[in-house]
Amino acid sequence: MTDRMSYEENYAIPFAELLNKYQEFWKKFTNIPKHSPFSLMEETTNIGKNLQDLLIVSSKMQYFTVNYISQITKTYAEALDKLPSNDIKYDIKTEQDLKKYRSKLIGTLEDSFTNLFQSKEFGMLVSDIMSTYSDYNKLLKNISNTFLLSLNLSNKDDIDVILKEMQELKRQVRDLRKTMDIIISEDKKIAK
Amino acid sequence: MKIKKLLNNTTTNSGEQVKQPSISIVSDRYNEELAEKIEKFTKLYQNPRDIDVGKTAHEIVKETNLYRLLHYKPIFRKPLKTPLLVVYALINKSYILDLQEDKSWIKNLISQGFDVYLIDWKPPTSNDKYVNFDDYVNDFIDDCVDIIRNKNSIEKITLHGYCMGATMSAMYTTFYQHKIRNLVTLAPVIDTSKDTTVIGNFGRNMAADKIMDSLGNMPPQLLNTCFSALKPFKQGMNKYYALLEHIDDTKFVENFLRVEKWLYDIPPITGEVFKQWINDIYKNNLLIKNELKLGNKKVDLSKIHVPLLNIVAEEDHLVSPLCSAALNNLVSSVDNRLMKFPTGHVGLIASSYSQLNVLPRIGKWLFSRSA
Repeated sequence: MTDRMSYEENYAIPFAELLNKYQEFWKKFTNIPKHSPFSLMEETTNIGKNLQDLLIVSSKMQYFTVNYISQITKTYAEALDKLPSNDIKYDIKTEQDLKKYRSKLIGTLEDSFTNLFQSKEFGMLVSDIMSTYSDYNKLLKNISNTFLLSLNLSNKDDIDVILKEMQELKRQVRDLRKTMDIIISEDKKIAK
Repeated sequence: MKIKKLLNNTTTNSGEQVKQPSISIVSDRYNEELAEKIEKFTKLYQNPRDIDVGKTAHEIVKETNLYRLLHYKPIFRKPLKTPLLVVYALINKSYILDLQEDKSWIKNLISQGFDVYLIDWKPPTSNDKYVNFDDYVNDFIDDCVDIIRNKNSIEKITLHGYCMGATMSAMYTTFYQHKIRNLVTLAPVIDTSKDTTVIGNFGRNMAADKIMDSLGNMPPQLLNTCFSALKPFKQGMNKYYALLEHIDDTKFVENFLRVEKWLYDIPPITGEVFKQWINDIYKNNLLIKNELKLGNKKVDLSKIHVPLLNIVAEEDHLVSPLCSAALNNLVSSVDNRLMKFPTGHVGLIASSYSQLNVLPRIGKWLFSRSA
């Protein structure tokens, strides 16, 4: 016997609760004071925190992906259940029989999967997968930002500020140009 | 044999054995032919060749980092007086409108005597993440409209948009009516509360702000995840069976490869546009409430008075027909027409059906309004 939880036991624990327990456990190691000399350690502790979060996000991704796969598998199995029962034999002898069977199979799968994809629950699941994927990216960015800082390079956030301001400037120039065009055309009309 | 064994061992989630056809399949000759076709199919995918698209003769009138304005060479010495600007969507590439000679939307319009321009959107880079609908509508489209007006010394042109491009065309017309003679929209996204598609469902549930704040632009891979959920079997899988069956038909294979190239030629969408598209249009349905803001101006569809032709595909699985048809009820145009065709979203613009049924009717409607 091991003290490890079996897959079934682990699966039965609500995921959020499991994550909270995990975070509670690690909190005591990462909860370093943020003032006095400790403030100088912030970058290092941030890396630790981000790495820890990366683990949590990875497990979330795994959870949602497993959920996604199980929904797909379940729908597939349910679609096959909808096909005529076993006692009606598909006796495929000609190419036409094969085409007919294929068309029936594809039609049944299509209906079942379209119902799944149109359901609100599945839409939310896809959103969860995309959100965790973006969380994962954000954490990677945070970790790499710390190293860019020590290399005296601008990080993505610094560049984003410049990009945003540049786009705003472009819009201002556009609006100015349009105002000038209107004034010039009105001047021309008056001159005529 | 392995496949047969595997199939016979598959069970459903209720533990019952999955029903399988009695695979005494067909004949040895059929199996041999099938094996041959599979080999050719594999070779085709392993040795991709260059696929020609967008071959109708044109010149580039203007090019920036985010778009090219193309002018197609007219067939007639004197094309119709009112030029037509096609505004394509920001999803996939505009060459679907000029995919091949016998199914070219553009070529058909030229052959009907129209003077055709097209905005060919270029893929945004991560530096363009803050470019939003305000820029696309008030800057890029307006720039193109002005270039065409100046080039032809005319006051007004016809604006003709497809899908997201049709939505942008409607937005544009609300602000710049004095530059637009006719508005022709194909499958526009308007009233998303009436959209029952898979894309609509994903859009309404998507945390666009969070995703874009992390990723910058909407990457092609994530867009493809959404698109692949559209008719995954009838279109996603069945098409490969069809290719296998017609692998010896050169014309079929060429057509297939062109569409296949287009389907996976997905540029990213700028983060700000994607956020507005999902939050303002899909989640909050601001367009029909006349509350959508571009810059500091509100898009008020009721301000549209120009002649409107709205074309809807009855079997559209990307934009529900009711979602598109809502436009006709929101504008104030007296000359206001809705046309419905029994085809799909892409079939509406790039099929033999559209060449024979859709384009002649658009041409007829536009002809008297373009002279």
